[in-house]
Amino acid sequence: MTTLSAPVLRDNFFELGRLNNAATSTSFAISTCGTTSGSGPSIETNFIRGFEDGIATENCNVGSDYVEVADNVLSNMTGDNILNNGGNPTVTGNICDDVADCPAPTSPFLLP
Amino acid sequence: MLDFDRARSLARFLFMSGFVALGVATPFAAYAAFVDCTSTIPVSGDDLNFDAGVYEGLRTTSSTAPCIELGNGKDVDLNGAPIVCASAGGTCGVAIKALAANSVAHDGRIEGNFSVAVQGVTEVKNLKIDGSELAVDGNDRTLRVFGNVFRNVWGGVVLGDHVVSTSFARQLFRARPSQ
Repeated sequence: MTTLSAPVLRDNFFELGRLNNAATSTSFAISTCGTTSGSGPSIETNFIRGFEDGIATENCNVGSDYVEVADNVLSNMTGDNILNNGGNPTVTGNICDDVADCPAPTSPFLLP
Repeated sequence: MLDFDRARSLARFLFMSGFVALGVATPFAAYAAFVDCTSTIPVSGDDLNFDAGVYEGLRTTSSTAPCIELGNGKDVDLNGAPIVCASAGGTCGVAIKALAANSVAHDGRIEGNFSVAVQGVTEVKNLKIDGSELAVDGNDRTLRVFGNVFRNVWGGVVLGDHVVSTSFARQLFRARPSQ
């Protein structure tokens, strides 16, 4: 699924998002745009908890985006687990504690 | 008796001197163990393989200058050591910044209130980043982000072809639809 030329964000652990230094904006774990050519970024098998938004895909006006979001585990977000702001994301196999913002196929579950 | 007393006095003197030396020297020794990178350390020749056996880490107080700046194809291996923002009550700039493609930053820690911990580096792996405003400011040069821990950050990773700046990410999130 991942080509060598595409950005890959894999096997990272994110926790405890906080306000920015200006105290005007709450937090996100991953924000990604697509690429101008070739395959878009892949966000795979990351563990994320405790941010406002977990993974946000954006349309950054660079043409086709095509972001892949697969097999991540997300919990304890105050906003969305996976936020589609554009970018033509393909979202598969993620596990979240809120199925409403974790597109299918997914397995909602609650972490302790 | 006299010899015994003199020997005891000498021993006491040496003992006390040791404490004094330890008490005075330890803070300076700890201070000297950090490499000051308030003025940027450029990595343009050899790769940087940080000697964690000799130095405790790197630290900076600069709000603008990067601690480490990587040239084309350069690799920084922190060998488990930290880069620390030591600005009292303030923020630091960038801990590791790449000026060109094919750079690597790996195996260490970045601690404290950096505006950006790692910027424009092609491969970011096995770093623990704690307390930065933005942990990884990626762009079209940032292709691999593997095995890192991001904690107590405002933003974890910004990845893709968009503009490399925290203000851009801020703009994105201010512009998002309200929930």
